[in-house]
Amino acid sequence: MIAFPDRSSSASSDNVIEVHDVWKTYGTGEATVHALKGVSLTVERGDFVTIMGSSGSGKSTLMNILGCLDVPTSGTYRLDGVDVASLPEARLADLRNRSIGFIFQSFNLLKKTSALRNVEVPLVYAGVSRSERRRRSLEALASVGLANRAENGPSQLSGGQQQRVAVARALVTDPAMVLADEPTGNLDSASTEDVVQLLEELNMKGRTIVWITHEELVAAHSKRRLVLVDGQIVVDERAAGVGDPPPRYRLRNQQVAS
Amino acid sequence: MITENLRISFGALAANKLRTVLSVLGIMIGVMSVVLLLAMGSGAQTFVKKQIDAFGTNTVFLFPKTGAAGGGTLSRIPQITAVDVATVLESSTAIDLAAPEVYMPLPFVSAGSRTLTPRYVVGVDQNWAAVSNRRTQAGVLLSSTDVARRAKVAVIGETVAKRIYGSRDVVGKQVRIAGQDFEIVGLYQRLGAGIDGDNDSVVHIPITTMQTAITGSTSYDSVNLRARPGLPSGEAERQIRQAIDRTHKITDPDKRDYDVFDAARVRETSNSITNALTALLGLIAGISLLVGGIGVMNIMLVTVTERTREIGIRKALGAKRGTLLVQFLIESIVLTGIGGGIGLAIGSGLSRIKVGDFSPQLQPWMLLLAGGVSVAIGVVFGVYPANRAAKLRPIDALRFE
Repeated sequence: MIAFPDRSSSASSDNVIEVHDVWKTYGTGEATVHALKGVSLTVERGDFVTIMGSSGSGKSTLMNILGCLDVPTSGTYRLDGVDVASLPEARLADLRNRSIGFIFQSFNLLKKTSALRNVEVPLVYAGVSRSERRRRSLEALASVGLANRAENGPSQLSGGQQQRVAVARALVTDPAMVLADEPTGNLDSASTEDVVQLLEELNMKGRTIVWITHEELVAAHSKRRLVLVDGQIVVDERAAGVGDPPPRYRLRNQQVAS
Repeated sequence: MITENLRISFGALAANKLRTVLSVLGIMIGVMSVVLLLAMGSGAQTFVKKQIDAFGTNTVFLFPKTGAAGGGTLSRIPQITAVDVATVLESSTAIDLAAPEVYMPLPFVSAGSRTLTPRYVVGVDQNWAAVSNRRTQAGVLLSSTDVARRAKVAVIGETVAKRIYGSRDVVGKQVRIAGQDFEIVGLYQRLGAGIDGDNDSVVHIPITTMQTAITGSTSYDSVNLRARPGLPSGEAERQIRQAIDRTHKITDPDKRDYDVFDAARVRETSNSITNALTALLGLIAGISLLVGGIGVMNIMLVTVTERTREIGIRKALGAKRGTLLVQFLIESIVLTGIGGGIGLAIGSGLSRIKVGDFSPQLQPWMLLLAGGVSVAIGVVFGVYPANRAAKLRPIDALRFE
């Protein structure tokens, strides 16, 4: 399909996300609201980052910018080495398609559409052939433990299962980053645990994960924790190295071992 | 991608069956009426053409201008005589056969207690059937012997046969005309209703019999002249006028005491009238198609609003503006395509129904036109809603509840 922007020029720095002094302003004059006030952020490949903040802190705005669903008012954002600001709409669509796997709080599965076909959607837009689409989608569904529910529609699946379908959909294009926006916000604790484990395992396989949440318990699973207040990052602390397993993952596996 | 789009479209249309059916109905009725009205227009054209051709495709009529002798400019009562006919045949290369007619002034026939006022009781000669291109379905035509011997024989039309004998089995039976018995020797083939009445309500007897036994006249009421095929339009008429002007010693065309009527030229005029009629009918049907199209646009706009969230999801997952535009366009084309298809089927079905002698005439171009227009309507009325869907910003679309 469309030739992908050359990544080699970005000195192959292993940063999936490079955000520099990003501002986002809504409205004009008296009614001006600064949702983001000079956020700078670098996320390395393989990291597992949670971005926390109360509502109104600007975390949703940051998430939209990171997901190329919105553009910053000023500042630069490089995703996988590509400066997003310069891209036309069609390229942004390509970028969303290939570099980002979205997981939303409200699942955002297509209604009246089977799990399999939901997972296939990003591959359709990537121009993948039908048989290949089916194969990869079934594989992705199997990896979230839903191989036997492929033909079920969202209404026949529990919330936890729906979110697992969404995870499979986020993985299926093999993106550089999985961007999760409060994915456990609508789930009970058992399903939350399922999704957390899935993302930990994804991260173990080297996938970069950016997770927006306001739940401390969930954030405790990540390697790095950012807190956003009033449009600025006020906390940036690391619980595990980029190359290490996620902290709780390690803990659980040690418990199993002992 | 197209098959994928079709699949999405059919899925979405199936999800809202009632709505789909209603918007399809609008297009269906539009296409159906376009097909049907065009077919009827074309059928009417063929019908009129057939009626005019019933005069004989190459027939020119010559008759005296009755009551046109105004102003006393004419020295005598207008007449067309055997001399005129002979002159025309002699001098006009365009005319190869002539068949004079003499009409019974108050046509009235009977058989037993049954009486009938046929449209025409006419005296004709042996050439009449050839000039007018008529055949019998039973019995024989009038012969030159019948004419020479002033025979009391008649060839009649089907309507007359049915009215006085109640059947078509009339050859050999008698018919009474002006107090004299005539033997029915032939029954004409059915011709149907014409533009000036029933063509089958006629009784023909030898012209000589008519002149001597009934009217007592020596002149003709009308002469049917057969023109050679392939002549330029109006040529036969010009030559006839030239000949008659000479025998009637007429120099001023305004003082002509006769008229010439060329069926071919009438057909040209009637063709342009029926063409205009067909176009008018098509236009009216087109308006209903337009209304159907607006219905489709309405539904598509509702669909786009309803599926804003879906559009947002698809955009987040990598759908481009163009992709979504095409997806919604295909959906609207599928909608009008289905409506168009059903409309074509019903329209062409209905146009097979025959009403009396008139039957609509379906032609391939009508189907192509109606089908093409319905798809075009899908495009035209789908573009705006589809573009609206494609232009949505992903974050706005995703937030939409």
